[in-house]
Amino acid sequence: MANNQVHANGPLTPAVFHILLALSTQERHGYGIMKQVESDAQGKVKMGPGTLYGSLGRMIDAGLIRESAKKIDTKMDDERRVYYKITAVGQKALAAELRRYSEVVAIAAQLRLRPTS
Amino acid sequence: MAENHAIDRYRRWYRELLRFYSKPHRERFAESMEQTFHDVCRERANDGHGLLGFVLWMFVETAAGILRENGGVGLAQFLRIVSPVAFFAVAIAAWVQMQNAIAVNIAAGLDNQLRQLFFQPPLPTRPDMAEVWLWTSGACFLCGVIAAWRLLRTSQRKRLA
Repeated sequence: MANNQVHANGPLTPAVFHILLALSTQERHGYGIMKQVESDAQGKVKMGPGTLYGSLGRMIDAGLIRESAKKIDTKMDDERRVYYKITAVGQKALAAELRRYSEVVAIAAQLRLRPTS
Repeated sequence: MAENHAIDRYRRWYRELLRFYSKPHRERFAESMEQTFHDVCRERANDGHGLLGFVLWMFVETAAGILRENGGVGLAQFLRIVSPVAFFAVAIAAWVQMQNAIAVNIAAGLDNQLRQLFFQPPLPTRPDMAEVWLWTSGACFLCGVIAAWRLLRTSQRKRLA
Protein backbone atom coordinates (compact mmCIF):
# COMPACT_ATOMS: atom_id res chain seq x y z
CA MET A 1 0.00 0.00 0.00
CA ALA A 2 1.28 3.45 -0.81
CA ASN A 3 2.06 5.69 2.15
CA ASN A 4 -0.16 8.58 0.95
CA GLN A 5 -3.29 7.45 2.80
CA VAL A 6 -6.51 9.46 2.85
CA HIS A 7 -7.66 10.80 6.22
CA ALA A 8 -11.36 11.61 6.36
CA ASN A 9 -10.80 14.32 9.01
CA GLY A 10 -7.69 15.96 7.62
CA PRO A 11 -7.21 18.22 4.61
CA LEU A 12 -7.89 16.37 1.36
CA THR A 13 -5.56 16.13 -1.59
CA PRO A 14 -6.75 17.98 -4.73
CA ALA A 15 -7.48 14.64 -6.48
CA VAL A 16 -9.59 13.33 -3.59
CA PHE A 17 -11.39 16.65 -3.24
CA HIS A 18 -12.29 16.77 -6.94
CA ILE A 19 -13.47 13.15 -6.94
CA LEU A 20 -15.70 13.77 -3.91
CA LEU A 21 -17.08 16.87 -5.59
CA ALA A 22 -17.82 14.90 -8.76
CA LEU A 23 -19.63 12.21 -6.76
CA SER A 24 -21.55 14.65 -4.56
CA THR A 25 -24.49 14.90 -6.95
CA GLN A 26 -24.75 11.37 -8.33
CA GLU A 27 -22.95 8.05 -8.56
CA ARG A 28 -20.58 7.76 -11.51
CA HIS A 29 -18.21 5.29 -13.15
CA GLY A 30 -14.49 6.03 -13.63
CA TYR A 31 -14.80 7.74 -16.99
CA GLY A 32 -17.80 9.75 -15.72
CA ILE A 33 -15.73 10.95 -12.75
CA MET A 34 -12.88 11.99 -15.07
CA LYS A 35 -15.27 13.98 -17.25
CA GLN A 36 -16.98 15.64 -14.29
CA VAL A 37 -13.65 16.60 -12.68
CA GLU A 38 -12.52 18.15 -15.95
CA SER A 39 -15.80 20.04 -16.24
CA ASP A 40 -15.80 21.21 -12.57
CA ALA A 41 -12.23 22.45 -12.89
CA GLN A 42 -12.99 24.07 -16.26
CA GLY A 43 -10.32 21.94 -17.94
CA LYS A 44 -7.59 23.02 -15.53
CA VAL A 45 -7.38 19.61 -13.84
CA LYS A 46 -6.74 16.53 -15.95
CA MET A 47 -6.75 13.22 -14.15
CA GLY A 48 -5.44 10.06 -15.77
CA PRO A 49 -6.50 6.52 -14.81
CA GLY A 50 -3.35 6.03 -12.68
CA THR A 51 -4.20 8.92 -10.35
CA LEU A 52 -7.95 8.31 -10.49
CA TYR A 53 -7.97 4.63 -9.54
CA GLY A 54 -5.13 5.03 -7.03
CA SER A 55 -7.20 7.71 -5.28
CA LEU A 56 -10.43 5.67 -5.57
CA GLY A 57 -8.73 2.70 -3.88
CA ARG A 58 -7.52 4.82 -0.98
CA MET A 59 -10.89 6.57 -0.68
CA ILE A 60 -12.73 3.24 -0.49
CA ASP A 61 -10.29 2.08 2.20
CA ALA A 62 -10.91 5.32 4.13
CA GLY A 63 -14.69 4.88 3.80
CA LEU A 64 -15.22 8.09 1.82
CA ILE A 65 -16.83 6.31 -1.13
CA ARG A 66 -18.04 2.83 -1.93
CA GLU A 67 -18.53 0.72 -5.01
CA SER A 68 -22.08 0.18 -6.13
CA ALA A 69 -23.28 -2.52 -8.50
CA LYS A 70 -21.92 -2.93 -12.03
CA LYS A 71 -24.23 -1.32 -14.55
CA ILE A 72 -24.42 -0.55 -18.24
CA ASP A 73 -24.19 3.12 -19.18
CA THR A 74 -26.83 3.45 -21.89
CA LYS A 75 -25.16 6.61 -23.25
CA MET A 76 -21.96 4.70 -24.01
CA ASP A 77 -21.74 1.01 -24.92
CA ASP A 78 -22.89 -2.35 -23.57
CA GLU A 79 -19.89 -2.86 -21.29
CA ARG A 80 -20.80 -3.18 -17.61
CA ARG A 81 -19.06 -0.59 -15.47
CA VAL A 82 -18.41 -0.26 -11.74
CA TYR A 83 -20.12 2.83 -10.29
CA TYR A 84 -18.84 4.72 -7.25
CA LYS A 85 -20.98 6.43 -4.66
CA ILE A 86 -20.14 8.95 -1.93
CA THR A 87 -20.76 7.78 1.67
CA ALA A 88 -21.92 9.80 4.67
CA VAL A 89 -18.27 9.98 5.82
CA GLY A 90 -17.30 11.28 2.37
CA GLN A 91 -20.03 13.93 2.48
CA LYS A 92 -18.79 15.09 5.90
CA ALA A 93 -15.18 15.21 4.64
CA LEU A 94 -16.26 17.22 1.59
CA ALA A 95 -18.28 19.65 3.73
CA ALA A 96 -15.32 20.08 6.11
CA GLU A 97 -12.97 20.74 3.17
CA LEU A 98 -15.37 23.31 1.66
CA ARG A 99 -15.59 24.98 5.09
CA ARG A 100 -11.77 25.12 5.24
CA TYR A 101 -11.72 26.68 1.76
CA SER A 102 -14.31 29.31 2.67
CA GLU A 103 -12.37 30.15 5.86
CA VAL A 104 -9.22 30.66 3.79
CA VAL A 105 -11.16 32.87 1.34
CA ALA A 106 -12.55 34.88 4.28
CA ILE A 107 -9.04 35.40 5.67
CA ALA A 108 -7.81 36.47 2.23
CA ALA A 109 -10.72 38.95 1.99
CA GLN A 110 -9.82 40.40 5.43
CA LEU A 111 -6.26 40.87 4.17
CA ARG A 112 -7.72 42.51 1.04
CA LEU A 113 -5.98 39.97 -1.16
CA ARG A 114 -7.33 39.67 -4.67
CA PRO A 115 -6.60 36.94 -7.20
CA THR A 116 -4.37 38.31 -9.94
CA SER A 117 -5.03 37.44 -13.55
CA MET B 1 -12.12 2.17 -38.82
CA ALA B 2 -8.32 2.52 -38.72
CA GLU B 3 -8.71 4.47 -35.48
CA ASN B 4 -10.69 1.61 -33.93
CA HIS B 5 -7.87 -0.79 -34.73
CA ALA B 6 -5.36 1.65 -33.23
CA ILE B 7 -7.48 2.05 -30.08
CA ASP B 8 -7.80 -1.74 -29.71
CA ARG B 9 -4.04 -2.09 -30.09
CA TYR B 10 -3.37 0.64 -27.51
CA ARG B 11 -5.86 -1.05 -25.19
CA ARG B 12 -3.93 -4.34 -25.46
CA TRP B 13 -0.67 -2.53 -24.66
CA TYR B 14 -2.34 -0.75 -21.75
CA ARG B 15 -3.54 -4.13 -20.41
CA GLU B 16 0.08 -5.29 -20.48
CA LEU B 17 1.17 -2.18 -18.58
CA LEU B 18 -1.46 -2.84 -15.89
CA ARG B 19 0.23 -6.18 -15.16
CA PHE B 20 2.90 -4.22 -13.26
CA TYR B 21 0.34 -3.35 -10.56
CA SER B 22 0.17 -5.56 -7.49
CA LYS B 23 -2.30 -8.46 -7.75
CA PRO B 24 -4.87 -7.03 -5.30
CA HIS B 25 -4.92 -3.68 -7.11
CA ARG B 26 -5.12 -5.43 -10.49
CA GLU B 27 -8.02 -7.63 -9.42
CA ARG B 28 -9.84 -4.63 -8.04
CA PHE B 29 -9.30 -1.99 -10.74
CA ALA B 30 -7.59 -3.35 -13.87
CA GLU B 31 -10.82 -4.00 -15.79
CA SER B 32 -12.25 -0.56 -14.93
CA MET B 33 -8.96 1.16 -15.77
CA GLU B 34 -8.87 -0.55 -19.13
CA GLN B 35 -12.47 0.51 -19.83
CA THR B 36 -11.72 4.09 -18.81
CA PHE B 37 -8.60 4.16 -21.00
CA HIS B 38 -10.67 2.88 -23.92
CA ASP B 39 -13.44 5.45 -23.29
CA VAL B 40 -10.99 8.35 -23.20
CA CYS B 41 -9.23 7.20 -26.39
CA ARG B 42 -12.56 6.81 -28.19
CA GLU B 43 -13.65 10.28 -27.11
CA ARG B 44 -10.38 11.79 -28.40
CA ALA B 45 -10.71 9.96 -31.71
CA ASN B 46 -14.35 11.02 -32.12
CA ASP B 47 -13.35 14.64 -31.48
CA GLY B 48 -10.78 14.34 -34.28
CA HIS B 49 -7.76 14.78 -31.98
CA GLY B 50 -4.50 12.88 -32.40
CA LEU B 51 -4.11 9.79 -30.25
CA LEU B 52 -0.41 9.01 -30.03
CA GLY B 53 0.70 11.88 -27.80
CA PHE B 54 -2.31 11.46 -25.55
CA VAL B 55 -1.79 7.71 -25.26
CA LEU B 56 1.87 8.29 -24.37
CA TRP B 57 0.78 10.71 -21.62
CA MET B 58 -1.70 8.10 -20.29
CA PHE B 59 1.03 5.45 -20.25
CA VAL B 60 3.44 7.74 -18.39
CA GLU B 61 0.70 8.80 -15.96
CA THR B 62 -0.26 5.19 -15.27
CA ALA B 63 3.41 4.14 -14.93
CA ALA B 64 3.81 6.89 -12.30
CA GLY B 65 0.68 5.54 -10.59
CA ILE B 66 2.17 2.02 -10.56
CA LEU B 67 5.40 3.28 -8.99
CA ARG B 68 3.33 5.16 -6.39
CA GLU B 69 1.15 2.15 -5.58
CA ASN B 70 4.10 -0.23 -5.40
CA GLY B 71 5.89 2.11 -2.99
CA GLY B 72 8.33 3.37 -5.66
CA VAL B 73 12.04 2.65 -5.69
CA GLY B 74 14.73 4.24 -3.55
CA LEU B 75 17.00 6.98 -4.88
CA ALA B 76 20.02 4.64 -5.00
CA GLN B 77 18.06 2.05 -6.96
CA PHE B 78 16.67 4.77 -9.25
CA LEU B 79 20.16 6.07 -10.02
CA ARG B 80 21.48 2.54 -10.53
CA ILE B 81 18.79 1.91 -13.15
CA VAL B 82 18.66 5.30 -14.85
CA SER B 83 22.40 6.18 -14.96
CA PRO B 84 23.58 3.41 -17.33
CA VAL B 85 20.53 3.89 -19.56
CA ALA B 86 21.11 7.66 -19.74
CA PHE B 87 24.81 7.07 -20.44
CA PHE B 88 23.84 4.63 -23.21
CA ALA B 89 21.43 7.21 -24.75
CA VAL B 90 24.11 9.93 -24.73
CA ALA B 91 26.65 7.50 -26.20
CA ILE B 92 24.30 6.53 -29.05
CA ALA B 93 23.49 10.20 -29.75
CA ALA B 94 27.20 11.13 -29.82
CA TRP B 95 28.08 8.14 -32.00
CA VAL B 96 25.31 8.97 -34.51
CA GLN B 97 26.38 12.61 -34.66
CA MET B 98 30.02 11.62 -35.21
CA GLN B 99 29.14 9.05 -37.88
CA ASN B 100 26.92 11.54 -39.62
CA ALA B 101 29.58 14.27 -39.57
CA ILE B 102 32.27 11.89 -40.87
CA ALA B 103 30.01 10.45 -43.57
CA VAL B 104 28.91 13.89 -44.75
CA ASN B 105 32.48 15.22 -44.80
CA ILE B 106 33.81 12.22 -46.73
CA ALA B 107 30.95 12.37 -49.23
CA ALA B 108 31.26 16.13 -49.62
CA GLY B 109 35.07 15.83 -49.78
CA LEU B 110 34.95 13.39 -52.68
CA ASP B 111 32.24 15.34 -54.40
CA ASN B 112 34.15 18.59 -53.96
CA GLN B 113 37.24 17.09 -55.67
CA LEU B 114 35.09 16.49 -58.73
CA ARG B 115 33.42 19.85 -58.47
CA GLN B 116 36.82 21.62 -58.35
CA LEU B 117 37.70 19.98 -61.68
CA PHE B 118 34.64 21.59 -63.20
CA PHE B 119 35.13 24.98 -61.42
CA GLN B 120 31.98 24.49 -59.33
CA PRO B 121 31.63 26.01 -55.81
CA PRO B 122 32.24 23.43 -53.02
CA LEU B 123 29.36 21.77 -51.18
CA PRO B 124 28.79 22.59 -47.49
CA THR B 125 30.28 20.00 -45.13
CA ARG B 126 27.77 20.32 -42.29
CA PRO B 127 26.00 17.18 -41.09
CA ASP B 128 22.29 16.73 -41.75
CA MET B 129 20.84 17.99 -38.46
CA ALA B 130 17.38 16.57 -39.17
CA GLU B 131 18.86 13.09 -39.39
CA VAL B 132 20.93 13.63 -36.26
CA TRP B 133 17.87 14.78 -34.35
CA LEU B 134 15.82 11.84 -35.59
CA TRP B 135 18.39 9.30 -34.43
CA THR B 136 19.08 11.12 -31.17
CA SER B 137 15.42 11.40 -30.21
CA GLY B 138 14.83 7.78 -31.29
CA ALA B 139 17.71 6.61 -29.09
CA CYS B 140 16.50 8.70 -26.15
CA PHE B 141 12.94 7.40 -26.53
CA LEU B 142 14.10 3.78 -26.68
CA CYS B 143 16.34 4.26 -23.65
CA GLY B 144 13.48 5.99 -21.81
CA VAL B 145 11.21 3.01 -22.47
CA ILE B 146 13.92 0.61 -21.25
CA ALA B 147 14.47 2.69 -18.09
CA ALA B 148 10.70 2.89 -17.41
CA TRP B 149 10.31 -0.87 -17.89
CA ARG B 150 13.19 -1.61 -15.53
CA LEU B 151 11.85 0.83 -12.93
CA LEU B 152 8.42 -0.80 -13.08
CA ARG B 153 9.90 -4.31 -12.81
CA THR B 154 12.02 -3.27 -9.83
CA SER B 155 9.06 -1.69 -8.05
CA GLN B 156 6.98 -4.81 -8.75
CA ARG B 157 9.71 -7.09 -7.36
CA LYS B 158 10.04 -4.84 -4.31
CA ARG B 159 6.31 -5.12 -3.79
CA LEU B 160 6.39 -8.90 -4.02
CA ALA B 161 9.46 -9.23 -1.73
